[in-house]
Amino acid sequence: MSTPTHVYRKLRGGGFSWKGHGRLWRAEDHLLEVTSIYVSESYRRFFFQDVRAFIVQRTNLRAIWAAIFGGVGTVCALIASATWWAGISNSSEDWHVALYIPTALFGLAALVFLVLCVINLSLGQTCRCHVLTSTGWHALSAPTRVGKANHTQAEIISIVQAAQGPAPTAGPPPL
Amino acid sequence: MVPWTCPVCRAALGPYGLDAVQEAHCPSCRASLRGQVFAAWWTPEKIESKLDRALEGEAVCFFHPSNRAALACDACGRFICTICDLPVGARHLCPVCLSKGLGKEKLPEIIPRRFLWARTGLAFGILPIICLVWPMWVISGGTAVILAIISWWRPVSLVRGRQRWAAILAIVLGILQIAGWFGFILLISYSKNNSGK
Repeated sequence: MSTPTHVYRKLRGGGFSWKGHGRLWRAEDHLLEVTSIYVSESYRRFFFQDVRAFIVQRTNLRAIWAAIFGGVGTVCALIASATWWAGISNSSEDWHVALYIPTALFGLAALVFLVLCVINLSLGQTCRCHVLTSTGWHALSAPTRVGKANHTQAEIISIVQAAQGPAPTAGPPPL
Repeated sequence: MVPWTCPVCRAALGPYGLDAVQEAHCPSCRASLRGQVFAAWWTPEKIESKLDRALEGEAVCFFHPSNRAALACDACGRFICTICDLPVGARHLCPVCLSKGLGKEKLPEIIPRRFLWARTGLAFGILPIICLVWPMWVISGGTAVILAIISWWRPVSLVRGRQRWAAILAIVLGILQIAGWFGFILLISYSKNNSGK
């Protein structure tokens, strides 16, 4: 049996989900979604001839993650400040040095969460991409940021239109 | 034709102007959507309502001798009818070739997942060293070496290729772990002997 090998080109933008790290790859005739959990990869293919619609849905995950990271980071920073203040206030006591250990631990945790919060905010708005095929809608695991999704969308639109030709009418499909 | 529904709540959408740049909102769940509908959406589904019975002298399907052959299998070349035609991407396969491809993962178009042996070996090579669980090093190191050797012949990632570097690094780290484990054992026995004297 002849086995054609595909040359895949990585598309911009990845994304994390409970299924693992997702990324889109483009072959000559199809789009490949790769979901990886480091030791294994799962594949889903969307052939350009079969793609009926590609939709980007803006989500609020950026705000939710910012609130989680920011909230946990702030709590950790407050605990670190409190233990540090307690250590300073009781400097005459023998045990005051022990308070600097939670100060360091919570301070480090606060720094990590606040850095994650800043990274999350700097990556831009979150989104979810969907592909419609003859079997229905399929949510993609990547890209999950609007900036990267714009590039992916533009690329997919041009490839699919090249494969299928222009849509018969400019407007939306009838019900 | 596939019903035109919201991808989030699956509610039927009214004929609003879907645009690749301008966002529209689903009237049911208020999801912000933008995108493109392609020509395939308007293309009617291919419905094979009746079979073409083969006439005298016509090529027939290998699996259904009474049916007219519609095309040839792209893998084995057998003539097949519309029932036996199984499109896989741009190729058309017969059921036998498709099942062969499914069984031994010969068809890259239908492989659903791949276990990455080299990367697993690398994980066994790196993680025990980072976690400093040296009593386990002889087991994890051996596992890393074995997995890396197996990866040399096993199927690889469809997109990342064979990743020989991961296998080589796993072998190196595995050997280091085994050597480190024996080193610790020698060190402990040496220090015990010295303390006894």
